[in-house]
Amino acid sequence: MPIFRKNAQKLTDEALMDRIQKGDTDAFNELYNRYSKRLLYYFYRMLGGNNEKAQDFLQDLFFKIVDNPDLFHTKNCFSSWVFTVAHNMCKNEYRRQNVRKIVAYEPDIDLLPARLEGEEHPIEEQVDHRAFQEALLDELDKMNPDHRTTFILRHQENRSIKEISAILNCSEGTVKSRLFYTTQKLAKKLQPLNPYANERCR
Amino acid sequence: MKKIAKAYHPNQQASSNQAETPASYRCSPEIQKTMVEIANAMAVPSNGPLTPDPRIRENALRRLRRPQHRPGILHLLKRPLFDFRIPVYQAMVGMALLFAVFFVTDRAFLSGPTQTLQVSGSSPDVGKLADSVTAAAPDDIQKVVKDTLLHHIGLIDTFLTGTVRDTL
Repeated sequence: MPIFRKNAQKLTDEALMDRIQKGDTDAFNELYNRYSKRLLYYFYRMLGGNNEKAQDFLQDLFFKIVDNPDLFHTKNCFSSWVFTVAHNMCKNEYRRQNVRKIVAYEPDIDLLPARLEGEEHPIEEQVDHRAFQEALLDELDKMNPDHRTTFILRHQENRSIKEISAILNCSEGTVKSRLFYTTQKLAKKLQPLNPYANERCR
Repeated sequence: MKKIAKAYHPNQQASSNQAETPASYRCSPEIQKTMVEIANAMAVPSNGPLTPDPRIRENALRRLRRPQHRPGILHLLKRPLFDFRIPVYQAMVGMALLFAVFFVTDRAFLSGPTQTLQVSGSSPDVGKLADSVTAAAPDDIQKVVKDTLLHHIGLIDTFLTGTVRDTL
């Protein structure tokens, strides 16, 4: 089995999905390792920092992959497909929330990343960074869902404009204008909270 | 358009050559730094505090190992009819049920009073009746009988019960 595991790591996402369609658990494990954390952060940021709900959505998404792997055509790009499914799940959730008029919940801010990786920083900077992240999450939550998901796909997933337009089923111009609007708005709102702005301007 | 192209990705913008961009199109350095910081803050850390629940993997694997049931024709036929979202199907099923009830139960209320003839060779009334029937034109009688709804119901009744009733 170790030989196969080595192979599974080398396989593309689409090839892994092909194996999952045949019931291969090792292929599923590999795909889970590649996407679970990214999707969890995506749901976490899209659902206003609610960890429990993000975990539920992540489970539902992987259940969909396992129960109906045939829904994915192996000629397509898996990465775009899975984020399209995730985006649709979030859109359904927003619709449900609008119907039920759910009271806004407090985000689980303890789960925000404390500091950029690979760097040692004093505790004050970490606190500032945490406050910045909390404000960012709060501002993102106030955004229009389409703007929010465009921004997350671009800056969290590093997707190209073309990929984002395919995932969200809109034109590239729309994606660009959404990104411009969202980034400018966030930058203006968060500028006073940026702990590194003054430091780097010197 | 140039302004949009410059602003939609702050990481690229910070390192780009700003000399080409007119000053009026550029945002302030503080805004630019904030945009870079936002982009950095959006990155997914490899060892962050937010981790997927290990039970998610277990549950998904359990589902994957479970034998898959492919829906065949029989499975589709077994689907409860009242699960359909469109109410037309329900109305059709209701009509079919009413029709079935109509045929299974006795339809005496439609066929009217039933008269059973007691045929006895010795009775003089029977002889008179037989004479009157033969005197009438047989074609006319048949035509009238065939044109009535009761005749059709009588035929079905004969088929179902095996007995002949005089519904006229």
